[in-house]
Amino acid sequence: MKKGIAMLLCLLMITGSLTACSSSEPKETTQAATVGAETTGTAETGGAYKDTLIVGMSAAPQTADAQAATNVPGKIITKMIHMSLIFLNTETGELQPGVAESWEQTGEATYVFHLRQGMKFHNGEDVKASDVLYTFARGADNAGTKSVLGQISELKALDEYTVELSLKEVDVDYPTKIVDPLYSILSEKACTEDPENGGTIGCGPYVLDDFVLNDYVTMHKFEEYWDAENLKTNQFRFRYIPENSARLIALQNKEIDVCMNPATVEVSYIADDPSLVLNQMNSSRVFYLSFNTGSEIGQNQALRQAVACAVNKEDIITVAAEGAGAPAKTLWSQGLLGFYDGFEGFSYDLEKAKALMAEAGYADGLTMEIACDSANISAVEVIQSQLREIGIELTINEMDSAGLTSYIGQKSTTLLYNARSYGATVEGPRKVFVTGLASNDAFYSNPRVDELFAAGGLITDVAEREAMYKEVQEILAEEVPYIPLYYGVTYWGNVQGFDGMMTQSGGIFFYAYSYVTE
Amino acid sequence: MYRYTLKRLLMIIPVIIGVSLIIFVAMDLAPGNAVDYLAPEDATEEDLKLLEQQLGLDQPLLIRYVKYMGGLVQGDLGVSYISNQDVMGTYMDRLPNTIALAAASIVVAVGLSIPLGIISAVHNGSIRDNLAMVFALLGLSMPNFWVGLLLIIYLSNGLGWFPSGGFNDGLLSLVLPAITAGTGFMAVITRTTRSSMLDVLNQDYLRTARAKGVNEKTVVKKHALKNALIPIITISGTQLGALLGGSVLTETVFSWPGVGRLIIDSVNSRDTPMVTGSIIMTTIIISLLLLAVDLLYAVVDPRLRSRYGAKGR
Repeated sequence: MKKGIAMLLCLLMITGSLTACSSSEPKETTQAATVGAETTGTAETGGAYKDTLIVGMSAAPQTADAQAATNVPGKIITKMIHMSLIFLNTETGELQPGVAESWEQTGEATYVFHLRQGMKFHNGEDVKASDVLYTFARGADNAGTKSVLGQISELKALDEYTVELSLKEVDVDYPTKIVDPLYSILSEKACTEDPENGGTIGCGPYVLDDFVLNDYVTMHKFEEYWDAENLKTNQFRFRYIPENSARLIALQNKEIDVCMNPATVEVSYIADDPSLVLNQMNSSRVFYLSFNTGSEIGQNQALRQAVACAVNKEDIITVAAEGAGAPAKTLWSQGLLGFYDGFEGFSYDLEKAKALMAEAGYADGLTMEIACDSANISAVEVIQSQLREIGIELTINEMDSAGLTSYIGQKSTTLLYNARSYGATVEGPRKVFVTGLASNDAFYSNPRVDELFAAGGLITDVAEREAMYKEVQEILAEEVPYIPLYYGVTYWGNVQGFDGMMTQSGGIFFYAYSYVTE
Repeated sequence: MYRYTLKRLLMIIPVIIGVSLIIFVAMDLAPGNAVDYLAPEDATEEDLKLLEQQLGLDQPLLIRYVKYMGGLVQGDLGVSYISNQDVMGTYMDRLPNTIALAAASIVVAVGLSIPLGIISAVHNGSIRDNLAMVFALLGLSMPNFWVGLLLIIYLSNGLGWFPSGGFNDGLLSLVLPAITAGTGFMAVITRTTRSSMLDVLNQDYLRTARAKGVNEKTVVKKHALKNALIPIITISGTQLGALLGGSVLTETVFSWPGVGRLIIDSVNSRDTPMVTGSIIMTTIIISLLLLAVDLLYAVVDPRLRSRYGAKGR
């Protein structure tokens, strides 16, 4: 028995010393033999590309049905499988051909789309005008697509490959609205034959093989895709790895080729590893505070201004985003048409904040509730301590995201900490600022703002539209129904040799043309 | 015996009704619903109402529950609000992974803890006993996710012996999750084995056996361990039941596609049919497992066999 224990102890010591050695030389060990790495293949296009590209996702796609995938991971998947009429090149801001080879505006609110002839769905059927009509009719009853498709007054097939789309009202942004994967063209035959799974049959660059909820999605190259010769990767595997550290280690082990959204505190491990590449971009996601302007406290403009002066955005960025963020002066995405932050606004100034508190009638301070998602609790705690400086005692009510959405709808809170991403058009800000619209967390109402947005949707002159949206942002900066805090930063890490990924509006990454060279 | 088994099987029915009702009410009371999860950020009030109608969430709780139970009686666990996939199919896809993890964990836990518990009891008060108990205490005290991350850092990232997660490398994929999930249970079973063995080792019949010249190994293996097995089987069965319900932290750290993560993800997205269906299935499995454990007592202990038999008559 004594011998046995001695051997056990020796074994433990050997293992301990081995692991200790490995931890002292992280760079070497991260390049050590890996388990589960895919074998490489040579692409038909000539270069040596990795056969299967594996992406580690931090959130799971809900479905591969284009019209039902409303979250970002879902749209990343559907963007691979499906294709919209038009494609938006976010680098140039240009609309490019998708299923529609070309299009023209034939009237103030009428567009004619000429479909790509010979384009096929994954079930072998040709993509025809009737499929476009079917897709838009299917989406008209769908909660995620109804509001945009509901703008159509008439949709008709002029011939087998030409569609005329008329809107109820002029909307200069409409072509840009339908670039979203939600408006991808579906196969009428596939959907009618199999209503449950037909929505996963697309005409995009990759064919869905397997969709396992909250686990993985696999797909292979669609050889009949119109641009198949430029697809360098034969297969994709999207793995859902919810734990940040595990996802990062999977990248270090080369079990995955791309690690999406690594934890900010861990990005240095990617940056320091010569076999990996760290990427970052300013996110379209804006973090903000919003007042319930319908509540007694929230309707006090001087109080809102006081809070805006008491909030130190740099400190919030340091704590909540580990320093990875840029202070925001406007609740408008950077790069979105009309973005403007040249006004003075209410910046951090405690003396001014105290004076405004007195002006608001709260010189002795007050207590108010703030609601937030549990994921944002650290930022809210910073705000709680900052507002204490001017006599405001915040009661934090944290909940999960589904709970928070419901809570906002009930108009139950005075102050809200939230974040929002916008798509490619000003439709996003419009829904946040116009009276009574869905994303108007502040329940804010200003007839001038409503008027400017209504007018902006009718004008094609960009400078004129920008002037209108500038005025909107100036009004908001003065009335402070929202306090913009910061723009987030999106990180991703990948192995050396990875390239070809395109970023799309709304935080969607388009992987179809990405590859890993060997 | 048969009547006892039948009675226990019939008792599962009220348990299912109770569990499903509790889940339905709890999910309804929780703030938010699947619509909040499914709707796009900029969905209008009208969109939300439409989605509620499509999911049937505009109907009162009682009607939804009765409809659900109507389907359940016919073996239909419903369709997921989120993925639109059949709940039974999704659950059955995950179950083999959970069973594999649970079985491997229990093998790790029992395989290490019974010898440790025996050594500890036989050498009560010695350095070996103390070392075994410290080992057990460590297993009990270390949080699962921390053990998992340590194993990933050292054995996967450091030495490259095992994959860091997923289910793509067969048995290799199973090793780290099994050790992680098994560690906590190992501690519990070790302590139970030790205390049960200590009770038995002091019994008169063992003293008699020793007095008759039976060697110590035989005393421990043949006479003491067999009689100490009942509490060990009980605790192992309960732990196995807990593992079959899903080891959420282990599954999350290792991206293991098991039932636990399915349930947690479904709770977060307020996917009531998926949560209810998965928990009902888990309830049935655990009930059957506990019944099997009870029946195993009879195999191990002839006195219980005769008692079951008497009940049966």
